[in-house]
Amino acid sequence: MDFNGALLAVTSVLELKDASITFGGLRAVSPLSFAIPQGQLAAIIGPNGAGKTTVFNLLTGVYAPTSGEIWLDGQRVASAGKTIRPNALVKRGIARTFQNIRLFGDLTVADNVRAAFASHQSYGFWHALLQTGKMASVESAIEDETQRLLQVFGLTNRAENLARNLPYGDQRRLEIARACATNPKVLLLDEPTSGMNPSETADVTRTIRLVREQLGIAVLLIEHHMSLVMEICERVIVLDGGVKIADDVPSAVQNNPQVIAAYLGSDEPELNAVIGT
Amino acid sequence: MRPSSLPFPLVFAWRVFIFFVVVRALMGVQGTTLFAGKHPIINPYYQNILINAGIAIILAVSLNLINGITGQFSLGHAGFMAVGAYISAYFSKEIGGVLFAQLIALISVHISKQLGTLLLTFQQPILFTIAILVGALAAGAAGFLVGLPSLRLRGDYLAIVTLGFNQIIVSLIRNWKAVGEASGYIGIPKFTTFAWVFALAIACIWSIRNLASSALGREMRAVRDDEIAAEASGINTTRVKVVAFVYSAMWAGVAGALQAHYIQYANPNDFTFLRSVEVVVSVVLGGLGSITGSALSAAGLTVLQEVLRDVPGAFYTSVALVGLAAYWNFVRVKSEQSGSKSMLRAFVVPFFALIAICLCYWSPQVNAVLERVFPRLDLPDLRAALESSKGALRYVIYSVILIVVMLLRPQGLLGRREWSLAALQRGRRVGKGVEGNLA
Amino acid sequence: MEFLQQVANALTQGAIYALIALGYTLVYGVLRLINFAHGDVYMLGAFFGLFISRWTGALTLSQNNKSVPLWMTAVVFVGAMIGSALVGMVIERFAYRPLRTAPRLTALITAIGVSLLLEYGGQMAFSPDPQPFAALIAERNIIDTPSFSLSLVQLFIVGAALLLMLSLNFLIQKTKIGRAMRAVSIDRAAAQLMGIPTDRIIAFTFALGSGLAAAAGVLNSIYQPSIDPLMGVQVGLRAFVAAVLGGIGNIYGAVLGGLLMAFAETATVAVGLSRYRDAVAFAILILVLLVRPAGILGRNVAEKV
Repeated sequence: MDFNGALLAVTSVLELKDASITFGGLRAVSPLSFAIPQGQLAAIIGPNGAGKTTVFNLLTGVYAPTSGEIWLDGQRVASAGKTIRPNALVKRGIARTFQNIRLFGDLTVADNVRAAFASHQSYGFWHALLQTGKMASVESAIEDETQRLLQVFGLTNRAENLARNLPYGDQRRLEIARACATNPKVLLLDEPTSGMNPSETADVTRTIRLVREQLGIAVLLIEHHMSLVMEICERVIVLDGGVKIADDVPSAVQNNPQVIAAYLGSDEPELNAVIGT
Repeated sequence: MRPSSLPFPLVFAWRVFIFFVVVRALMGVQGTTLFAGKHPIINPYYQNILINAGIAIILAVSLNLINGITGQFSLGHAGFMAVGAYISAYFSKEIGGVLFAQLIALISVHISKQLGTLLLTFQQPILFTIAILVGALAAGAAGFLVGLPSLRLRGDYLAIVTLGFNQIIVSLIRNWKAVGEASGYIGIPKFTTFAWVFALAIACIWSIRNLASSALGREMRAVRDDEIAAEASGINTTRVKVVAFVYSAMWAGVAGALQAHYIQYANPNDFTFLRSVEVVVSVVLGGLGSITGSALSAAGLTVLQEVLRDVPGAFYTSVALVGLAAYWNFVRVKSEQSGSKSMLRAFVVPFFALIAICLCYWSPQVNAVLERVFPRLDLPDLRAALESSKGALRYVIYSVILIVVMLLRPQGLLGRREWSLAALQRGRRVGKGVEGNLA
Repeated sequence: MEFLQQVANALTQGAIYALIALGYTLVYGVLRLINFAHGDVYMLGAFFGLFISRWTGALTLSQNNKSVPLWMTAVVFVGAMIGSALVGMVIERFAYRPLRTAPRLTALITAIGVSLLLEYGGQMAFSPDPQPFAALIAERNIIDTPSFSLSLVQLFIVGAALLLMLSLNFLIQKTKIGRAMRAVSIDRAAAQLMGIPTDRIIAFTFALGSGLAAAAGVLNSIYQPSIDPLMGVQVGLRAFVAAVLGGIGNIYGAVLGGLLMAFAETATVAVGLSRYRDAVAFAILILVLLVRPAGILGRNVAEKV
């Protein structure tokens, strides 16, 4: 049962069509289908080991699907046993962050963002070697964009700090800023609030809203903080054991008996305690 | 020197012009007193050191592109150097001259006699340019081959594979009849002059600085810091790594060509992994990722090798090293904010080291004094022992320097900073860096 | 029979490579450090053996073509192993321990420095010229047919190496300190939190590896009785390649790699390509690493995203 099914064919930026993946006989993701329309903010939730990060790795070209297809912005990017390399996928408009923050630690904050323009704002080897006028004009375009992104994410005054010296919350924000610098149509966030205290979580929540509202990027996130999911997402996909068991608006998912069973057996009050409603 | 927005060919032509003006100016100086003539200011002995230093600089700065900036661990730079040296030498000795003569003959007959004679006067630089290019291209091809495993292997394993390629190249040369096998390749024409080395060293530093400060350099550093994140940020890590390997290998090839046409001899034993290690040492000692650091330490180590050739040189070097070690040790202890007692303790080891060094150096005098007091002592003459094992002494001190510098300054002499005259004038050693981020 | 002869020679050489490779692998296991100086510790082991045989009189006995009593051989072995173990611990304490948290390349350069120091310090201390070694084991053939001969020395080398390897395996798999070593190699920080004295374990590992290298040094010197301060360079490099080939960090891999290396070398020589010995060894290594990036027995850990 797809969410918003009628509109999908026209406006979805990202679509999984019966994509599955098997590791040495172990089926990590059973044939899975869903589509993300432009600008949607959706979440994938599910118990540990449900295959959430594996879905992300499928979407970003880390693994090729065993069967099925993945479509990105109207083009097929992966089919059974075949996928394009992660960096080529980035060029087509998909960006991601990682569960354990992965920054370029010894680069400055600004350079972390600048580096992510590689896929769409670049110049060749000879221009770099001879420092040509083209390099100057591309660099100045990158610089403008970088400053704008740093501004949007509130990192301007950190621009010259080394990324590894940033506090945890700022590191996460920088990772999201860097992902946005690749000019994506859809942004995948893998547990953006993991290991964060409530105020840092609130900060990330604001950042995610920002991405959607100011940059108009569709966001798909994996998250364990149910309050965050319920607060900002328009749609929740629930995975359990590699199978999609629900795909609906948050309020509907919250009361879905299958979801409750997946998390806690079938004890409804406890689920409410967990998801904080 | 920010790139202006002038059209590319204009800017490029301007830069080439400036470059030639500088080189020409130096060669003009060479014509008068600095290098040649009856009483050159820089005599052949120093010229020799300068040329060796220039070659070492090209090697270290180019390796820094792989090891320091792209973060791949290559231990086979001497292999690329060997390819460049042998291929270019083979070209200029066996092919180039004949080819050139035929070309001149053709031109003289079919086009114009004047052009033929004109070309003939420039035979040597033209041949050498082509030889260097051929050597560089061959080395670049080898770099491409060696770079391919870097797509699959990481860290120590990549280091071993590059080392292996180095040994394989040396082993193949040892069995290549046309270039003298293991006994070495003799009779290579002497083309290398100080001006060539100087110009190419500058070109190497300049071009690698440019790469490092460009988007490509940023991508290289991104790959160094986190390859998976780089790939996920749209960086083509394959391209970045292969470009680094090929470009770096080409410069190693240039260095090899310069060396072969300087000493007019190439021996496979000069290109074993020990030479590669020497280059890695320069890079790490100067500070991984610091281009000026690599250049400075390569030049410094070359000079050091010369200084260490005799015992007084070794003595002064050791004393200087002890002083430097004491200073670094003191700074370290001070930064740990311990009491004055441990600050004093920072000088204990250097103090005894200094005494030991002096005792060895002035061993005859010390023995004479001691034997006056204790006539039967029969002390060994340490100074004579040192004189007799000079060759080994040089490496012993060299290795002690390595260990001491690494223990007391693990980040290398400059760390990741760049060093520039402008920064010096501002009274600070910390350059703002070419892209303003190397604080 | 020609073939059998080659196998016997390869086994002897392989046993020596394996012993040295074990030292590389042990140190790499606990520290992730390529101990470049290991080949030179092997050289020191041989020199310690020489000094002890001079001191016990074994050298004079063998020079007068008299057989050396077994206790002297034992003393030479144990003494050389203890001497090298101490040297290994000293190197670890003063050159590597201060760099535990420094970048990997820094520690590697230090290791290269230590290696050069031992080689050229050795030249200054022992003279750069080759020196004859004592025939600690009688030069007698056990099997002696025209086409196949097996000397007592060869048998002794394989036997001694096997004994040492089995003891090492017992030590690592069955004893408390072995368990501690395995723990340190898996996760040093966690091991420390569990109360394992990691510094002492690492020092012990160096002692162990250096002792094995010394044993290899003495064994090799009995086999090829001429030693010099640079003898460790080539052998060290080959043993290191062997360790990587088998999967560095894995002790069975080191033994397997050592044997493979020796067999490959023997085969290369047998088919008349002895001049390409180095090239063939490294070509095998590169091919194996391209197929199995962590060596034959090494576990290939893909980085988790």
